[in-house]
Amino acid sequence: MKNIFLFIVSLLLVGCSTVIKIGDKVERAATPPDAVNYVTTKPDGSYEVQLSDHRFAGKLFIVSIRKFKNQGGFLQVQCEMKNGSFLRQDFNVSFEFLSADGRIVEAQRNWDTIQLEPGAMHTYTATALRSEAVECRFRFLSK
Amino acid sequence: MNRFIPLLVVALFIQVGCGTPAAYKDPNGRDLVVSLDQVNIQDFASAGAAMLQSMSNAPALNQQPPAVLKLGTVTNDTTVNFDTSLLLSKLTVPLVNSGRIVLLETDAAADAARQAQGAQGQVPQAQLVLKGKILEDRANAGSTRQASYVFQLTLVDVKRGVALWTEEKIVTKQGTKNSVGF
Repeated sequence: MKNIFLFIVSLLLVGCSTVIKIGDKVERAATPPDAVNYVTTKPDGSYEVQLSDHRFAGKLFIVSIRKFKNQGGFLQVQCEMKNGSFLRQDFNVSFEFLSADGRIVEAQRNWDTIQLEPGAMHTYTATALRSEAVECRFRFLSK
Repeated sequence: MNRFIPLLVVALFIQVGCGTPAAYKDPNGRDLVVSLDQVNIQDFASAGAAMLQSMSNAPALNQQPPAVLKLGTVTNDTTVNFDTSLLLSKLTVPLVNSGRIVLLETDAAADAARQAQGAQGQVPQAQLVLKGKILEDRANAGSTRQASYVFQLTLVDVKRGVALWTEEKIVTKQGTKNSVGF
C-alpha cells in the first residue's frame, strides 16, 4: 500500500502538464512523417481530402465542399465537416488560397479553433480577398 | 520502499530543475502563452481574421475604384491596457495590400500633403469609417476563471451616416491558471 502511495506521489511531483506533454509527444511520434492534413479544391469542382494524421481518423469527416463567387466576384469556399466520433472533438482550421498556376496568393496564418460535439456538423467559410484566387486549401491541425 | 527513492529523486529533479529557456515562437503557432487576465496576441489574430472574413463580404468593399477608408476610434473598454491597432492592423493590412480599400492616413505629413493638394481639388475624402469597441466579461466558478473579450466593429458610410457592416467576435478563455498552447 505504501509503495502505491509513493508511486502516486511521485507522479504528482512530475506534474500533470508533463504527463500531458509526454502524451502529446507520443501521439506526434506515432503520426506518420508524411502526414498532411489538407482538403484542397480542384478546378473541376471536386476536392481532394488528405487527412493522414491518425488523430483525425474516425473523428473528422469532410461532408462536402462548396465553391462559389460572392457578390464582389471573389472566391468563397465552404467546408462542411462532421464529428464522427463519440466524444467531443477540438481541432484547428486555417486556409490558403491558390492561383490558377498553383501559387499561394493569400493565407490565413492563425488557427481557428472548432469544437464539435459528437455527430455535430460545422460549416467553415473562407473568402478570398484577391481576384486571382481560384482554389482553396484548408489546413487542419489536431489539438 | 527503497526502490522508490530513486524515482522520487528523479521526479523532484524534473519538478524543480527543468526551466524553459527563452526561445522564438511562431506568432501563429500553437505554443503561445494563453493568459486569463489579458488579451493575447493570438486573440487579436483570431478576432481580426474572423472580422476580416466577414467584412470582406460587405458590398462597400467590393466596389471599383476601392473605397477610401478612415480609421475611427476603437474604444478599449477592458481592464487591460493595449493598443487597439493590434486588432485594426489585422484588417487593414490584408485589405490595403489586396487593393480592396484605400486607407486614408491621418498623420501630420499626410495632412500637410492634403492641404497642399487642396487648392487643386484632389483631396481624397473618407467614404468609410471603421470604428468599434472592445469589452471584457469575467466569471469565476471555484478556482476556475473565465475571461471573455468582445470585439465589436462597425463600418460607417460617412455621407449617409449609416452602418454598412457590423460584426461581433467573442474570444473566451477558461482555466485555473495561465498556460502555454491551445
